Amino acid sequence: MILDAIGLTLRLAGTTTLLLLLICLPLAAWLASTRSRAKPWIESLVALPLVLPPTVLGFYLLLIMSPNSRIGAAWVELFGQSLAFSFWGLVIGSMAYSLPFVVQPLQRTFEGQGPLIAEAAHTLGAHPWQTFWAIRLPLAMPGLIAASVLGFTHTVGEFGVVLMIGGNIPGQTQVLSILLFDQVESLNYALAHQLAAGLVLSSLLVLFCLYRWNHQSVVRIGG
Amino acid sequence: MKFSIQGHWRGQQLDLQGQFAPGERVALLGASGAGKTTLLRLLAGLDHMPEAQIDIAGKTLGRAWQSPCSLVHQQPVMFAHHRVEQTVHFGARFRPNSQALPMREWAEALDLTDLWQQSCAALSGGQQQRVALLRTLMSQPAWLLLDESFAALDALSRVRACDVVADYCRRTGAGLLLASHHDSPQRILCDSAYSVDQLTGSYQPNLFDQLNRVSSEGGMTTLSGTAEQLTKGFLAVLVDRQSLYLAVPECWQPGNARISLEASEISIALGDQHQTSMVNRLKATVDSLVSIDGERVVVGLRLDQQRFSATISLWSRQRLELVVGQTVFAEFKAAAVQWHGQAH
Repeated sequence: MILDAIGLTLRLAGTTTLLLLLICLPLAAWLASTRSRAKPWIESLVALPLVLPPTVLGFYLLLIMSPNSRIGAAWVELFGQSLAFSFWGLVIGSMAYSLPFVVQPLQRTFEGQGPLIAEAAHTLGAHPWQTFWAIRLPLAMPGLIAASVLGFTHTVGEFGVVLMIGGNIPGQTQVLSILLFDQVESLNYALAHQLAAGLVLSSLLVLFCLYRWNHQSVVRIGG
Repeated sequence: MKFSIQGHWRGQQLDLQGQFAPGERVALLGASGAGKTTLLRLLAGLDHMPEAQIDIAGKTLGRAWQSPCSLVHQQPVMFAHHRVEQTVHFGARFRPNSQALPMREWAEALDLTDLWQQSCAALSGGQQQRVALLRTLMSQPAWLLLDESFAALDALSRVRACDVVADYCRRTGAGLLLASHHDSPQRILCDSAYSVDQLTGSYQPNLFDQLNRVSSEGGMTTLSGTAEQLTKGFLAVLVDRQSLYLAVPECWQPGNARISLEASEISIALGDQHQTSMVNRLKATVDSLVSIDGERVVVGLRLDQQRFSATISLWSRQRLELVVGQTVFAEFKAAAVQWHGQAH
């Protein structure tokens, strides 16, 4: 039961982080350099999960994912399975929930690079994609690692959204935090202690490694 | 290159028009804030002004990475994850390279060989400026735009950097636009001038007309001559059929040469009788006498073709009883002659 939950949690957090990085790298690079009027709107949307109760997010996601909605129906059509109460439903929910934790460190890193770095590469004849791969991305590595760690640990720690759209199906949607809640509800304090202490220790260890590494690296998080 | 940049832009009224021949070497003159950097950034495609018309090699200027101009920023921009070698090779990666350039030779001249494997982030300001210059040369721009790119260098490195830039222009036929507070790089590298004053530009086909006119109030005059041979540990340069001597420069060859004289280091003598240990004596005609600040006099002097000036005290002028048209001897030490390279 515990192993199932640990495996599922890691798989969920890993998938979510990877997909988020793919989306957030171009988004953060764009947000860092754009002068578009849409920028504050998009930044607000990205930051929204920081302030909203997870249950609000979960509620709307559940409505969207239900087979009665268009998107939910299209998903059932495509994959023959409902999006709500499934692993991929959880992935989408976690992505929405952890979005700001991945976008913001990346955006700060790209902003910290300033406009001159890209200018210098352009004036050598490197077009924006070449500049991104050869210069901006390697320089953003500390931010990339910070974003991955924060996105991962935050997904491991999520509760409200998972409960709303995933429920509590062992092996499918029962992640560690839900399992912990379950154990407390059924007054199984010994197991609850193990789970809670395990989460505290592992999170602490990961964050310690991040800050320790950041302290030593040449190019620091946030420029 | 032909440009017409007129109109209101970022709260400023610009009027910059000009046309430079391929391979021309232009000094950008003007006080700081006059608009030199604005012009260079527009030409490099780093800033974009919709009304501006900029044609380079018959093509309308596009985005920065399509521009055949490369700007070396005033503050050197380093990619912190690169070593010196990597960043110089990065420069050579993008534009089609028409010819092989002597990268290691230039690196040696710029004193970068010992730093070749060091991280760019660990270099001093002057070192970064030399790395940025070499990186840009390796990208083979058809126009090299230098914005105070020698500012952090000491006098010797500055002259060597100028030699490297001159070598680059000679090999590739590239043009040069050079803004610099120190005027020696311009005297070494440039032939014509583009003056920018209050965001309005004007072209002067002869840089030295412009620079030497400023020196009619004293200051420095650049003369052209012919480097001839080594004599008693000095280099002899023939200027308007008279020889003068200077300390042997680091690198020279017989042929065209530019030397500069500081007006305050020249004194005036009337006859041959005061032959002293001084190395240089040029026979010249007094062209003009202008009194400045009540204590000093600027004496305009004419050789066969060229003019230069000397600043002497009012007292000396009265003692020598100088008049316009008189023949005099301009005397100065070998150390007062500055070597300003060899025109191409």
